[in-house]
This record gives sequence, structure tokens and C-alpha cells, in this order.
Amino acid sequence: MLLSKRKKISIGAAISLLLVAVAFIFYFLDPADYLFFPKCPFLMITGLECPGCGSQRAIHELLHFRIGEAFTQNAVVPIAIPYIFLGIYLDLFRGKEKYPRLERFFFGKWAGIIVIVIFISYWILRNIFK
Amino acid sequence: MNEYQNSENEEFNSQSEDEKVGMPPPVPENPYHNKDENQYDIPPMRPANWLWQSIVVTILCCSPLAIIGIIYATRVNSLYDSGQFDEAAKSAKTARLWTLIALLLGLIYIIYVTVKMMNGEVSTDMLPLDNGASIYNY
Repeated sequence: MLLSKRKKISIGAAISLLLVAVAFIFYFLDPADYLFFPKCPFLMITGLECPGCGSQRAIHELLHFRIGEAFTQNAVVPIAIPYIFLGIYLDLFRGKEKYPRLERFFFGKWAGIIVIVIFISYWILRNIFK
Repeated sequence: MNEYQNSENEEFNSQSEDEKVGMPPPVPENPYHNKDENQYDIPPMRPANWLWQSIVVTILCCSPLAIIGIIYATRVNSLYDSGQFDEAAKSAKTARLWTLIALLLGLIYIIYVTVKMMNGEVSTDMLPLDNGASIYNY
């Protein structure tokens, strides 16, 4: 990246502060009970659930360490969150240079195909077996 | 030998001077890129494939668009591994484009909903159902 180190640190601090604030909101307020959490536009338009539907409730349950409930709200989110953190580590914290084989395994060709299959099959199955 | 070399040098110099007068300076060729065979002598860097970014957007914003981003992101590494570096870079760019479009639309939607909430306008389809179950899905 072309950014200087000081800029990187300040941007990182701002983003992590924002994340902590959002985590506080999602910890103390259940998205199922409050109106100001945004609702999925795809569900509103088509009446079908998208693969991301229920992710806010799932994050709320995960922050309370209720993993089973999180799976019932959205089965993809509890799996995807560690995967996303791994991707952030590999991309932004020089993990790629340290563990190139890890990067190739989790973000290579087959990993991407598996991600697509999981998302699309979950999208179809959750609308069939409601 | 000396005469021959001198004459050749003079010719070369005169030619290059003629070229300098009328022509624009020649564009330096990209040393990594062989134009004729469209192949690289030294393979370029593996492009960032935008996989985890598009997954984040799929889960948190409007998903159908970001899934296009995931599909293009998966093509990046397979194209790169098969030696199609130009196509891999193109695919990475497309993945970035769709991820950013989906992110932008999602952010606009979230801001729109927040502003609506602050004004106290709640549409009836956003109210909780009678049986206590929520239709909040996002």
C-alpha cells in the first residue's frame, strides 16, 4: 500500500473503534426486538430469504456465545466469520508472506468454488425447508 | 577495421538524428511483457482476489450482487494458475467492481433506513408480527 504507517494506524484505529461500537449495539440490542435494524431488501421485494438473511440476529447470538441459536438464525454466519478474520489477517497483516500455503489452501481455486456452492445451496435450501 | 567502425557509427548517428527531428521519443517497452506472443517472461504478481471482501458484503449487504463478486473472485486464482495472467487480473477487477457496487448499494440502503427511522416513519411491513416472531431478516 502507498499509505504511510501513521495513516495506516489511524485508519485501523478508526475502523476498529467503529467495529467495537457496532459490536456493543449488537450485544445489548436484539435485532429481533428493535425496529431500527435494517431489513433485507431482497426479502422485502421477493419474499424469499437471501443467504445473508438473519445475519444480524446470528451476530447477536454469537456475541452472547449462543452458537446453536446463531446456527438456527443463519447457518452461514458462524462459519463465515472465522473465515473472514483469516482473510483479513492474510491480506492486511502480512499473513500471506508468513503462510503462503495457508493462503493458497483457504483462498485458492477450490476454496472459492466451495464457498459459492455453500452460499447458493444454502440460499435454495433455506427457502425450501422454512 | 577502424574506418569501417567509424563509418558505421556515423551512419548510425545520422540516422538517429534524423529520427530525433521529426518523430516523438520512442515508448519504452514493458520488459515483462512480450507483445507478440502475449506471454510474460516473468509472471506478474498474483492479483488480490477479493474473496473475503465479497463474502462480507454478501452477508451484510444486498447479496445477489456480491455473489457475482464471489464468482469472479474464484476465477482469479484458477486463471492465474493456468497461466492466463491478463484474464486473472481482469477477473480480479470485475470481482472488485461487483463487490464495491454491492457495498455501495448496501450502505445507501442502510443510511436510507436509518434516516427514515430517525424521522419516525416506520412502514407497516417492518413491524414485528403478532405471534411474537420477528420478520427481521438482514
